[in-house]
Amino acid sequence: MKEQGFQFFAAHTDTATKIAFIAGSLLLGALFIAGLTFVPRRARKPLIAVVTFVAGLYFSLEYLLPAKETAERVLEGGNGVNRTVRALFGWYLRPLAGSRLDADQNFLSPSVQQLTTAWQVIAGFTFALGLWNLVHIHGKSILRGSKNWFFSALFFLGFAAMALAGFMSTHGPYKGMEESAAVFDLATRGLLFALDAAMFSLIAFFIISAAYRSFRIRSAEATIMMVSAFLVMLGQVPIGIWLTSWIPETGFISNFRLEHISYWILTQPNAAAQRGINFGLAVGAMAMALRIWLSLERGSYFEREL
Amino acid sequence: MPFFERIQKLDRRVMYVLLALVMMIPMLRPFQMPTVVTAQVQGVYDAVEAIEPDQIAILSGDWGAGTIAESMPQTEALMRHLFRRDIRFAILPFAPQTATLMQQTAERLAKEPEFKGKAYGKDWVNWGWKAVPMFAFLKSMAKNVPGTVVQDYQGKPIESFAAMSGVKTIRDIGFVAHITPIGNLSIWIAFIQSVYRTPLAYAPTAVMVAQGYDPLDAKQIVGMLPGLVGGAQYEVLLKQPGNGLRWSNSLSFADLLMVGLIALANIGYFASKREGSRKG
Repeated sequence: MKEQGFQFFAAHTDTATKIAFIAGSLLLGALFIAGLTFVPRRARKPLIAVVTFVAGLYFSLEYLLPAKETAERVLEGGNGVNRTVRALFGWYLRPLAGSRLDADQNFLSPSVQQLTTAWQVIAGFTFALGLWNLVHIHGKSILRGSKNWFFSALFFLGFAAMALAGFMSTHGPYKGMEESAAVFDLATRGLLFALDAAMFSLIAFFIISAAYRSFRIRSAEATIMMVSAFLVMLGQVPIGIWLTSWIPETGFISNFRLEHISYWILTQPNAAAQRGINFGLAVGAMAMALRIWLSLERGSYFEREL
Repeated sequence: MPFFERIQKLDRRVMYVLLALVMMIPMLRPFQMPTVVTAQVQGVYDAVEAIEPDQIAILSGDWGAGTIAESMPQTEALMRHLFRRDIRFAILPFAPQTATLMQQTAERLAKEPEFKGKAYGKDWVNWGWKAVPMFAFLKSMAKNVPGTVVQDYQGKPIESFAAMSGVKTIRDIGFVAHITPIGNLSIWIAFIQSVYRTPLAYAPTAVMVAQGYDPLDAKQIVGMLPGLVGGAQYEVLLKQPGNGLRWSNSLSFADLLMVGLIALANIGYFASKREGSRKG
């Protein structure tokens, strides 16, 4: 890593610079968004398509293009493959090998960090959009006095309380004080985490009830599934291990211990099935990525007029 | 209502009470049950043992309070091992709650007499949650750790921490454990493990365990802590019983209850079917 002077695109921790950058970014952002509203409707979709394509192309090329150390290896290599690659791609490899980049970088790599920072900024805007959406929906519900307006009011109360507790513990005159930390702790650990854990633990009750009511052996497939489920479930937990702990730990007979049967099911038939699913998923994801990258995706969301 | 039909229509409130009881009793009256350490858990332990003293480990995660019963024992066991080996580590949260929960876990462990002297900034650092897609962060971090992380969870410059000295690129990271209830391990594999061969361990929740055996077989991960039981097995390796072992007893009885109830309902189903066909 080379030492550099003031880096415009780096994240700045100095307060004055940070405030200047925030103000500048807000101004530029506002100007940019205002500018976008002047783009003719017909040109909006092509504009998004071009930006999407360029961004996708950048990340694909940065990932796929060889790094400096590979270029050096190919340029020094004496075999036929290296000679062929040199003849075909020497125009790319020679300047790369002679560059001042790090060994694992190519020409596009130095911008990755700046783009990641830019991404964080864009993500910040999406949070603001999400927030605006929530305020809009719940505000409308309260103003209209709709049936469940009380829950909307609760949203505003919860949002304001959590935001206040967070800001008080990290900013302003109460920063670092025991009282503000205690309020934040109460809001997070005492309330948010407890509610989250309680919500999630309810699933166990629903699962047990649903499994009891719906899991019936109606076919050979259901039988195989149930037997495997029982073996895997019990083979994973101490009581299952205890159930067959009387079987010797060595020799052929040890294969019949529940934990070994469970491990075999998970590492053999399950891994094979998972691999098959993963191949399918990967092909599907690639097709989907291509459709989005090339703006070929169709449907209600993508065909809406902007 | 005939008996066999009745056992198929057990009141759900009875099931809820039974489940609550089998979950609570082992927590209130802890006892020891046999636990076998599997090869996948041993693999994670061995990878932590193999970290060079000058390297840093990353404990990455995106879990929240919803999966605390599984993810917390996994995190705690890994942190305990790293503390014991005097290996500094970085908390890399990909969700806001994870930053707080993992930090609290580390702080709690640092207060134990065994780890006297362990302190934030020196022995561990919290990189804080970043609102950025995981792949973009990992790509950037691999080539420039301080430039990507910039500040810790409290906004302090990351390079000011002793725990970060000499940590420049992914080559300085000797081990990564991804503790998650989400199926996003493939991002770590695609952008870090397959490119830089950094030892990667996976600590999923039990429902996600099935996905881990493919990369485990392909040696893309060094090992796996399967859910709460994985944490419990790691505690056995550390010879330090904790929440993992205690809570896995509750899990045992919950599993047994579920198996029993499903079996009961199926007995009722077959018996009433046979009775029905006999009646004509």
